[in-house]
Amino acid sequence: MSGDRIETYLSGLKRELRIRWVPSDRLVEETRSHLADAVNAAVARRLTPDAAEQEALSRFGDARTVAEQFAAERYRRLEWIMLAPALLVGISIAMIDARPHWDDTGITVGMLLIGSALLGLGVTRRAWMIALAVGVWIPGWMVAHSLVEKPALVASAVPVGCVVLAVTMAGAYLGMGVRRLATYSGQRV
Amino acid sequence: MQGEALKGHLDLLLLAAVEHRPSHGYAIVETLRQRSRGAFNLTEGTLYPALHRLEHAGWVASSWSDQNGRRRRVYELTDRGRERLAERQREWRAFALAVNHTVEGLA
Repeated sequence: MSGDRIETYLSGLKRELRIRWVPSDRLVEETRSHLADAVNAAVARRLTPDAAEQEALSRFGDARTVAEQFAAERYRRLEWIMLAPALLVGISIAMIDARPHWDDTGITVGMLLIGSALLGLGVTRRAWMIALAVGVWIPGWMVAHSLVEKPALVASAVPVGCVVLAVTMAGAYLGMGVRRLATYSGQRV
Repeated sequence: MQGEALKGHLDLLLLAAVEHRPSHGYAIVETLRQRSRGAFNLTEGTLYPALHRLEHAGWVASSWSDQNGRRRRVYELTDRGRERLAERQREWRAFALAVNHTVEGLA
């Protein structure tokens, strides 16, 4: 029993880190060393080895939370960098959609979905940021255009905005989900 | 005191914990616990992402060390980290003084 629980935890942590594309070797080694120290300290306080392991793991935190913290630190900048292409894609689609003779809604929806899904492949969390960056421009343009041309039509941007954001949310989370699934599959092979 | 309350101050606490001697992760946690008289009860695993961030920023440096047959990653303050610590300590003193004055109603 002794040590099994910690090794199981470390395997779980490794998996959670890899899912998030965080290099795991050093972190897992540091965690192993930390837990060994914590168990020794707890045993020195007269806890049984089993109770000491339990306490050490409980204090360290569950593997998913720890991995999420690592990913958050690691990808904080990348998430902001990913916003630039997302904004470009969103503006481009809005410009195409705003052309006077453009009336192919299906293609616009397809571009929004595919564009946000491809960009969603680049993030491991907060896909909603990508969805907003891609999707905000079409309703934004509608509002601006209506204010100048036909103020009475401003309200029509609300349902359009909801549909556009629903599509980009679906795309971005689909992309992020595919990335996570691919990482999971890669682990299992 | 839970992690949420410490979030904005974690860098300062970690830099202060390795100020006088290089330490490995568990020793840093123990230092925080002892110096705070048990008040800082953090989820220990979440300290490592912060330590790695400090290392990435160049404020601490780390290396593997073998002690008693166990391999540990040891963190130490760099010169830049020492400057950063002094800067954060000044900020903290000013902030704590202002909060004290406000909360205690001091003139």
